[in-house]
Amino acid sequence: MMREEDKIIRTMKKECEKIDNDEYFEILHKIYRHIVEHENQPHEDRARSIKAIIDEEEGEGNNK
Amino acid sequence: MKFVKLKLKNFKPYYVITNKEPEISFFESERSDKNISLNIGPTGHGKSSISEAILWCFFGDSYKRNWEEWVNTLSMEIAKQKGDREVKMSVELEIEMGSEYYRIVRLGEYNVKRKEKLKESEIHVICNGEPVKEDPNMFIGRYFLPMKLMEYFIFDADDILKKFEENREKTIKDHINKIVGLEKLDDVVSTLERVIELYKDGVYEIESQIRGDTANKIKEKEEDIQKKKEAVIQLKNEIDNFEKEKKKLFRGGAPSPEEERFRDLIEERDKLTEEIKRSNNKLREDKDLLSNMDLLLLKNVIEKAMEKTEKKKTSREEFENAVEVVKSSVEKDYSGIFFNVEEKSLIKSGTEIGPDNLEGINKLLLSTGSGIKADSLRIFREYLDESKSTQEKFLDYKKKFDGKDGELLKVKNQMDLIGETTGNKEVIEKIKKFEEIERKMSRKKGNIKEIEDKIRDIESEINELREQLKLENDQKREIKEINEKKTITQSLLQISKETRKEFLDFLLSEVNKTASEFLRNIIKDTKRFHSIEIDPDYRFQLKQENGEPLKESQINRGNLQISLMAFFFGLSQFLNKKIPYVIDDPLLRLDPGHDKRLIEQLSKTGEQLILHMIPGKEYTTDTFRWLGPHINIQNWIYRKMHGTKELISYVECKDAEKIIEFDIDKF
Repeated sequence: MMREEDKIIRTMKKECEKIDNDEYFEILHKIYRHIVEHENQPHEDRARSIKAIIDEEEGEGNNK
Repeated sequence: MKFVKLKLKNFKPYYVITNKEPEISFFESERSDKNISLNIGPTGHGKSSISEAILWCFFGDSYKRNWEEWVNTLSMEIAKQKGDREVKMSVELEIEMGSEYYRIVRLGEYNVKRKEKLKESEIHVICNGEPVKEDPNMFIGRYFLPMKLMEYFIFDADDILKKFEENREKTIKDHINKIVGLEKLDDVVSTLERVIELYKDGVYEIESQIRGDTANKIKEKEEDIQKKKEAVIQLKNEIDNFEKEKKKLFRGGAPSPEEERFRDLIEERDKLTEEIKRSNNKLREDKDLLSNMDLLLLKNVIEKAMEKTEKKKTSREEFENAVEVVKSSVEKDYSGIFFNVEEKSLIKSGTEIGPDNLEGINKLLLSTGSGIKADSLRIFREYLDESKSTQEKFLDYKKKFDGKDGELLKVKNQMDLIGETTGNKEVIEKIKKFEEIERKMSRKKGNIKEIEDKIRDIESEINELREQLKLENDQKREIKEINEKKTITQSLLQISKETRKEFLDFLLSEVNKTASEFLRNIIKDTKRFHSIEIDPDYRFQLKQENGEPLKESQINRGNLQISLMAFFFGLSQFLNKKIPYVIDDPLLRLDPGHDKRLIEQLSKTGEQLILHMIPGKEYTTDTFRWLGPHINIQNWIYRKMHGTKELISYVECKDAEKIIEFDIDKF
């Protein structure tokens, strides 16, 4: 059985493949998972958490 | 999956009488080829409570928190009468899943006095008689759906119609977003938009700290230093030129010791000459002064003594005493001066002192007579002594002055030895010029020092500015990095929007397709009721075969209800979950024929259908005629009085193969 989140993630992956960017998918996947798992997080806190994910991912990307 | 049995204890109208919990059977295994379970009862008898009991059993407080509505009213009354604090309630659902048999039990306790739950409800999942090791909530999540998605399997057909009529687009949007998790994607989009704002804020904050003109300031200061260094070079050149001039004046670059000695002598001579001139004048004045020294001293003494005594009163005797004192003193110390008592005047060598002094002495004589003789005498003598000291000082000066004459003579002699020639005069001129050059050079050197100090200050400022520039460059790099992240976030945002669009398009095409097929299989007028189309703006349209949308006036409520059930069916099929449908009032207001085909369509999924129907309205002899062969079980729900006022529901399971006549007395 495919959960609706999985369908969305698959579509997301396809969209990233269109621009040939797996890294974007990894980040977006993390963001999406965070939002699914922190459903009740206030908007501003959520934005800061997501920013931290992007910062961290981008930081890692730069260190590679 | 089959819902087999539901046991209710003190949940809504289901009250436990004689320790026997009300039971509702949904499935008899001996009729397993028939997948429709009916719960028949008029409105308000407890049909919808069955759906609610199932949802509470699965989700507890996540479903709803209105315990007050859930707890059976009669049980609360009885508890109050007995003085019991709480009422225990429970719902137990038995489920058959392949070869496994599950019991899901939800337990709750309600405080009757406080009208609130005593604690969180408990859930237990028992599989084939053994509690499952898995977390019960995880179990629910694995086999079923989140609570909000269960409404596409357990719903009231009448409710969805009413909600849709209240606000079409919002209702459709809510359903679609909910069912496919688009809400989460919307959250991703709005969150990423906010993150972009945060990055912009970050850049703005750093930019506001950067002055921006630091590099220009450094450049300006460096240019200033360059100019100052050129000025220093210029000054040094000038000093070099002065040095050359000095060398031109004197071969060795400076006057020789003899030349300097000569210059010094000339200067000393001129100085002494001037001094002698001044001293001669003074000496002349002083010689005049010395010649009258004794008189002047006396005058001085008298004036000072007068200052001390003039305000004192006197008698004749005192006056004469004072005259004697002055007279004796003057005669003793200044033998050349006489005091003429008759004429009241001082006489020196026969020369009379001027009238002014005479008047002064007379005043003195009058005043010194006052008081005690000894005092007058003492004051007078004090001033005489002081005058003597002055006289001695003058004599010393005169002696020294006489010495200067000797010095002058020595210088003159030396000069005579050197000789004052024309050549020597040139040397003097050259030395003067040389000294002028020296002064100029000194000024230039001072200027150089001043400029060099300034250069050091500017260099220090430049160092500070370079530190600032380094910091600014770091900040610019940081801005660049933030902008890169912002660009990535914008790309992520774009992808999320595209994903949303793609996914919505995919979902709508699937749901529209399933719902349209469902619709066409129920409403046979397929020329008019050809398809359901929900567009990306959540507009719900029924379209004709020619593609034209149907007008609202062309759609009766029954057909609209079928369309919405088709939409729900499309959504539930998209979720691809094998869960029984529990539908309240599915056939209400449907045209004849539509009801039968609706059930046929729902049955095609192969899932169990648990339908709550109103006897006489949805469930009639005609209904039984086509529905009968598919019925697995039929429960009749009644209400009866318990005691004098409270109504409770109870369930009677009837022969599934027989039409049950509507018995008005039973209701």
